[in-house]
Amino acid sequence: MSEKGLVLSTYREITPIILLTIVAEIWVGVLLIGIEDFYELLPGLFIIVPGLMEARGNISGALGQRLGSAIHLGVVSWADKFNEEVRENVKASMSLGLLMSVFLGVLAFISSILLGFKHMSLFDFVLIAVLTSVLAGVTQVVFTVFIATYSSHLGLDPDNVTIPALSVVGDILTIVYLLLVVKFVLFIS
Amino acid sequence: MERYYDAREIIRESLPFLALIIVFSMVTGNFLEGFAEDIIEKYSIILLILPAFINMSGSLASVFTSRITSSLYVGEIDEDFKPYRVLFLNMASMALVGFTGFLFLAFVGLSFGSAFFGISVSFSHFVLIVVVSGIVTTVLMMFVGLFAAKMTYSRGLDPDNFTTPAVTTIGDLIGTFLLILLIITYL
Repeated sequence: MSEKGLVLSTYREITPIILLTIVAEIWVGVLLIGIEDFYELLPGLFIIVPGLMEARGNISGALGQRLGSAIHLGVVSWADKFNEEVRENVKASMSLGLLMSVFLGVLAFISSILLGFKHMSLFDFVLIAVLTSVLAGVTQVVFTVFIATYSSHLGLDPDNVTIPALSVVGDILTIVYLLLVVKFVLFIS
Repeated sequence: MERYYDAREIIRESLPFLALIIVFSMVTGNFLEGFAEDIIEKYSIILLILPAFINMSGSLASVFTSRITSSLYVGEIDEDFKPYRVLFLNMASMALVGFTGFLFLAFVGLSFGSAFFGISVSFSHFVLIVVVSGIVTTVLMMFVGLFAAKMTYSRGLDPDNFTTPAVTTIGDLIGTFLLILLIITYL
């Protein structure tokens, strides 16, 4: 491909999805304002919200990136999207999500004690983090495998589309699931 | 055929780094929040565009590093990222996407802000601030991504596990700082 061709085709592939993420992220801001109502009911909740979104983004972003490399290497494709390479990657991603959410719950509990914040119990912290992370994780893993393999099937470069698509879907999913989990935790307690 | 990926290997490689990143972003997040609270109250336009701003510079730099690591794996470039032509072409593409994206963000943010929140700021200054701080952040983050890729690849680790977390976390910090700095100085 010519040099000008490479720049132009990259530009054409990425720009639409980037513009879409901007519109979606403004909605993320609106949803985040909606969660603030629960901050008083579940003290300390605000400490884990950014961490939850960040951890999910990092774990699924890395998954997307590994799948991108795997597709370029030719070991994963649309026709071969449930093979052992994909399964190992998915297993790793799910385990990391689970471990990180437990860590995050404990970390939030400890830091709210250290900083002298009013806070909920350790159990509630971990429960909220784990439930949100598992729900968002399962959905996101399915989405990541689909978008990475399907985009390459369409002739697009998965490296160009997977991460932006994921970051939007991931942020929105995490907040929606978090709202549901928070309501559930308030309901059972 | 030998398998490329092993779940345990990935977990062992990623877990300590991800844990470190979370602690780091919790500390800096609280610090930034304390530092920016008064400023954000005064300039509510920041609140409106910040999530999209951070997300976009993070995405662009991650896409860039993702492309570079794929090029590394297929042997298009070597461990020192040579030939640099591939590197510069990729950077140029991202900067071009960034220019369009940040321009769009400035327009959308300002229209949204003036329509629903009664925000009124100098249009030309605002557009210039968002585009300049956005592109500067993105370019800096691309170098962070390259550095992270180099450090991990040369140690036999998989850069795919490290570059996106490193880029987005440091990018959040630099992006927020730069945008707020330019807004309080020039708007």
